[in-house]
Amino acid sequence: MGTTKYRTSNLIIQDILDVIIQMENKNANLKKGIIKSHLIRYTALKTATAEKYLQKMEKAGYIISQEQAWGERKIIVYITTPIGRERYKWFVKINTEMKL
Amino acid sequence: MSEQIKNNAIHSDKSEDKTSLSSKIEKLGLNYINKKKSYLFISTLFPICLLIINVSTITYLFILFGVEEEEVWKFMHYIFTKSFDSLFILFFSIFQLIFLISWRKKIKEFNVQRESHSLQLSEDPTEIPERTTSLPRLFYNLVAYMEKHRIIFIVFNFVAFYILFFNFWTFPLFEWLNIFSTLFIIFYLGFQWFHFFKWNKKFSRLRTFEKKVYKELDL
Repeated sequence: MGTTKYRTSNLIIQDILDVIIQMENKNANLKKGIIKSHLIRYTALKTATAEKYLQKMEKAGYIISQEQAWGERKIIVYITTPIGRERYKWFVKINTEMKL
Repeated sequence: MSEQIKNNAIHSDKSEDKTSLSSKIEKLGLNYINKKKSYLFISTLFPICLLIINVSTITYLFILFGVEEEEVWKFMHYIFTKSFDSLFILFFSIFQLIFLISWRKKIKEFNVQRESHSLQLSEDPTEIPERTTSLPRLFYNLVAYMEKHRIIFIVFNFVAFYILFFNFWTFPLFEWLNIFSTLFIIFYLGFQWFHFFKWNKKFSRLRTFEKKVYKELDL
């Protein structure tokens, strides 16, 4: 039961980090990060669940949100922090049994 | 604290670092997945071969061997044991095969999505495809499967030890088949034990990591 609790949360966290890191890579020369609504849609999470995890991850220093202007609108873009990238690296390292 | 993190993130926002990390992770992940795919294939193949040996032995016994009256019980015991082993091995193989097929399907899906999904800032969120698979999900699929596989493998060990014990006493006609099956089982057990030794270490490292993240996020 306990393991399932940790696992479910960790899967969501790693999935969010994976998407942000991927987008940072794809948009390396454009705008960094990913728009909040795109992130929620792409990870196929319920809005409330995504909001909860994004807040917790930001508070823990895994990601940061930046308000950016998009035409006349304001959008929230998420980018990873060194801690967030480090945690994702650890996760991949453990799973692939390799050094990174 | 959060301001400092923000500054760190912005200043350390070297795109080449992020680019290399992301592609490195993707490459590592895919290499690892391919390695595990091969392991699963071999792991499925062994029991299937063992099953073929058992079925051939039983068939051979029925076709060629005239059973003497005093050997009927021995014969029945032999048939029963080999049939039971075969059924269990069949179940073990099917269990592995089902996962292998579904996991391969997910890997294929992952590769397709990796190539086709690109998010642009101008896109309408409702037009963005929902991701059905990802590297973390593929990893966790495998972890969940290995946990089940480990339990079935423990039972498989008892069956394998019984087969090994049983192989020592049987009809002289099948000595070479029994030697072959014995060596086969020993090799397979060694292969799986080595594999699970590594996996047990991984499970414990993963659990520690998950607890750490859970605590850091104060969930």
